[in-house]
Amino acid sequence: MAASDIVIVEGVRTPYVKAGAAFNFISAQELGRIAVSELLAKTDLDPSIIDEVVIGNIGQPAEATNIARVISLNSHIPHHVPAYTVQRNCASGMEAIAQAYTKIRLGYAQVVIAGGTESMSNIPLLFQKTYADFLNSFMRSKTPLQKIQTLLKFRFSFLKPRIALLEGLMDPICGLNMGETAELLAREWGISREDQDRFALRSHQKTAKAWEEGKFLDEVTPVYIPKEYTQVIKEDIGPRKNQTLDQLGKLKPFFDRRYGTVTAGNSSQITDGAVAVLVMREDVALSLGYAPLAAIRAYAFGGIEPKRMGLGPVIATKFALERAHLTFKDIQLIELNEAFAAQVLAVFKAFESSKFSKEYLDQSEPLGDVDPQIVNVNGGAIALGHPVGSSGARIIITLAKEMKRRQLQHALAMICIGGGQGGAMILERYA
Amino acid sequence: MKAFKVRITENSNFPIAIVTFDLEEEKINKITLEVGEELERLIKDLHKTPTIKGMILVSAKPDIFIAGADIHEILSIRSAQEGMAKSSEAQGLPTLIESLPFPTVAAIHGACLGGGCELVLGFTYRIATDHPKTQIGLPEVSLGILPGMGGCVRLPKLVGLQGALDMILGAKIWPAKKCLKTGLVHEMVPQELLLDRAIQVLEQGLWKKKKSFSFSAISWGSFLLEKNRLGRHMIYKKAKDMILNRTRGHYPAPLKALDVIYECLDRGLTDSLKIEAEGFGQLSDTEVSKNLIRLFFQREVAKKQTGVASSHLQPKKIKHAAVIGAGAMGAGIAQLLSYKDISVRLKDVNEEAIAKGLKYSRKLYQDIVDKRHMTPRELEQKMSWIGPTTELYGFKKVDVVVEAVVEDLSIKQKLFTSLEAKVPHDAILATNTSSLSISDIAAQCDGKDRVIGLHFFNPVHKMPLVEIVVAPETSDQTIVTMVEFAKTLGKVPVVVKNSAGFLVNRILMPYMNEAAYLLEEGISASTIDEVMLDFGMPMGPFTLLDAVGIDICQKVAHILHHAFGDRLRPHAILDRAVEAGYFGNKNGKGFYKGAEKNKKENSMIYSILGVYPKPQEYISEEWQNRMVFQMINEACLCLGDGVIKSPADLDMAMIFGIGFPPFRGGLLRYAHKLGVGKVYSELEILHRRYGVRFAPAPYLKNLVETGRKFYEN
Repeated sequence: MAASDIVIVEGVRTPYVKAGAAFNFISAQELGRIAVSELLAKTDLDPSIIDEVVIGNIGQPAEATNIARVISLNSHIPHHVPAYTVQRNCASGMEAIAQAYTKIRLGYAQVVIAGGTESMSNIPLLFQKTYADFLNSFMRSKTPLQKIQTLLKFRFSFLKPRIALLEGLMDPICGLNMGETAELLAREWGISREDQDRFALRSHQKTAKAWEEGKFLDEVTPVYIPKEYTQVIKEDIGPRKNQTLDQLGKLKPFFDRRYGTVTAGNSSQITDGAVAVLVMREDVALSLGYAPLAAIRAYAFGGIEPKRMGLGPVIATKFALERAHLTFKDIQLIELNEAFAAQVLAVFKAFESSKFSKEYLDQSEPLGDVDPQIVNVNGGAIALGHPVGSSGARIIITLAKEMKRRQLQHALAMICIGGGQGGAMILERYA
Repeated sequence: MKAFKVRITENSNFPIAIVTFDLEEEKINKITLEVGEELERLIKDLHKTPTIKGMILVSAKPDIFIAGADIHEILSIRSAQEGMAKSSEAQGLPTLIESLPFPTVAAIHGACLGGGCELVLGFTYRIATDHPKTQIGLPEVSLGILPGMGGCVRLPKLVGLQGALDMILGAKIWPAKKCLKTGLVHEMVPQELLLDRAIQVLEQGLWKKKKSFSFSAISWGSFLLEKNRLGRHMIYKKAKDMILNRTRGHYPAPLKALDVIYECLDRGLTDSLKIEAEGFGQLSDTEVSKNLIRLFFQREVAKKQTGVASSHLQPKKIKHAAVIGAGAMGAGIAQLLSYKDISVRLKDVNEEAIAKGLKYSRKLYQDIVDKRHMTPRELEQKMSWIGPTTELYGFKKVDVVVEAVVEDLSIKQKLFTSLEAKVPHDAILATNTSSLSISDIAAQCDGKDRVIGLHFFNPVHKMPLVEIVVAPETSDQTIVTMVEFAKTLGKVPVVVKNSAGFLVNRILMPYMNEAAYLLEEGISASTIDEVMLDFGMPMGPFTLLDAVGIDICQKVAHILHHAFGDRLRPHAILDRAVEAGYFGNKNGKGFYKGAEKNKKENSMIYSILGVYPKPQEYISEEWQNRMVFQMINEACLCLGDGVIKSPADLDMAMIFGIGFPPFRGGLLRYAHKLGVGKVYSELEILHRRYGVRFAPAPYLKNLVETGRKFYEN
């Protein structure tokens, strides 16, 4: 069976909206439902022929465990269609599509809805374990005396909340915050503040241009904001049309206030959004009359030290290229998720570095030069934002649509993964 | 006919008679004369069996316990004496059960209504299942009678005076949960455990346990109110005022029921039952009750009608729908569809229009949530059936499209032709137009057979009627599917011919027109409205004009004038009002100003219209007659034109479409009661006095000449 047997038929996403804004009161499952429902409508797919629903999500809302199932049923996909949630940190959305590919490849499925969703606005505050224990022992105290004794053990420090969002962005192995790993790469690869800011500026400009050209209209579905519906979000909220280098230059480094170069302006934004993608076996897609966007040629995930997680994409790309029997030269278009400008620029350098290749890729030759002109042609997460569980799927549909527009042969989507991993997926032109 | 089976449990120490109600050759259980007699014999037999330690009543019908008494028997009652005798006899059943020497348990699953509810009130112990179909209630008042099997006497003792009034006067049906809370049932159990639990209650003597006293502010409040004469009198007064307010005295049943319940509070059982039977007898002989019962039967008949003569056509099931136009009508229809778990694409030209529509739909759900009839979670799930879109996305699997865009023929024609390419070849294209011709809308379509009118009334969630408007090209399959579709939506479908104004609006327009004439003659809008309220209409003609929109009415009036000639020439004040920018409630300029509760007549409009109402010394009977006779005459013209099949269908349409007073049995039932000859001669007089608009319809003339009537009975 040839690799081009598995195709991406269509992809739909909600606008990406910076956290705490218009989507503040919309849950991750609802964002996912909107994306999946609109995908079903746009493709006129009979939901009963879906074999599996796979959704990537990191925050995993307490009220929607196995969020994929909740999204599936709320999208009125029939009960008999199973659904599961995948979590590979920032690559969860890509992992969902990879799962779809693998299942179809194995013959376990023919039609899969994949995607990712994240509401970073709704990642909760947690109580301390000490407070939970205190409440627990209070519940177990029977007599009034016991109760008073338990109450006396109360400490105000119990009430200090744990901020799940911050804890999630902290690597438990190396103890560095994600931003600090970016600082490390910036230092190691000598990436200046100015280069980072310039890159960030380009991201905003490219995103704004893509919107002006109407490119995103093809992938974005409007979201009507309940309960009053006075707001309808049709476009991403995050990209800044009038961003200037000056403004970016004025920002203080966020993670290393004294010597750092990574600022809120040259990092990805904290954002809410969801993506849904229809993946099918080629012959099924054709029999249903679809004109697929692209075929999935190969994917790979690879690992690296957690503190250098930003370079994970290089490792994953090596394996993906091997699986696709391609070289880096064959790649004509790239989406590389912009976790941090420093991280993206470090990836570029690592691609070209013999030293890195020897040390990490077990090969003397570097993978090849990166042409910045073909990377993130419609901007990236620095402008659009990075709803962590969803971005991995977003870059794949943006890539698939752009390569179809440009009629290119091969394209590559890459994403770095907190915890020291990278993901890469190679798409091939379809027909 | 055999209705009951008895089985004795095998526990020899504690034999229990399990009585299963399973009425032969019927889908439901109901209490007929024979059923009552059979049950009486059976209970008397059990009474004589000394070993029996208890009795349980269950139903073998799925989701029905007892649907009530046989309404045919009530309709056939000829006099108050006969009604009273019937009631006394029926009252014997629960009393008999009450007097058994052993405990009795009613194990209720499914609907337990009317006589069924009254029967179980005679049992020692009642268990209901927690199934949503398990509902108990006394809807008698809605049929113009009162519970005449001891319900008025026993219910207040169980659930308190206020609870009983709520159920009986409101003709309410309570879900199991409320029955448990109010004490109407003792227990609520999962369906699977019902019989076992009933047996357990008897074997272990659990029925003897007194309910533990629980203290709450609410129970204290009702204790203070209900346990003394003064408090009870207050409740009585308040209830009476409320009924009079709501019914203007047109409905005798709730008033009588209130009196009966109140009088029975302090009396012994025998006395009380006698009062109840008297009340029942009086009500059963009223014209109002007969009308309401006939109406009930007409609805039952209508439920079985398919809309076409041939019976072999099967309706297509509607699972996916689309609504075009997210205005109040479109959004209302979308909400209704989503409520029935039908997926609906809601399309409009821009996001702002859709957002308004979504807000409207959500508000309808929010109102249900606020009444605690729905949880917020269910609201979200229902809303998720509505998929907003500005494109014709997701139309390839729809079974029906309901168009509700502006009333502009060329826009509709364009829309329908573009839809044809986007929907499956067998999808139905329905239009919610209220004034345009279905044939015209379909004129440019390839498949004219699937175009049909589906005319909902505003507001969609409140108005039960749907006119299924059929053009000559419309196929029977399309009709059958739409009639069934309307029924699944919980609406009352009436098939009407495609002609100007269809049915309801056509009849309404000359009525409103006549109101305009009266206004011009110097009678104020509020006086005219009052006259029609007294007649029993839910709102007067000018309130209705404001609500519907004066501009809309004017538009329709001109269409009708164009179609039917000078007989329906619109009164000039409509044009004058619209020209001056008076559109009614929608722009806050109409015959009235202010919100519902404190609305006042808007005298500003009079100078614009050039009319000068004077205070009236008396209310002339002719005013009402002129307005109502316009409707009757137009109804006859509709029948003559074949717009609608029968007077019964027409009456149903008027009742469910504009709220024509149900107690009058419908527009033509009212005319029937007056007598065909009287109606005709009255019209002749009006004709001479006011001109061509009162010229009697040929259909009516024909009835008079051939000595026929609107109705057989």
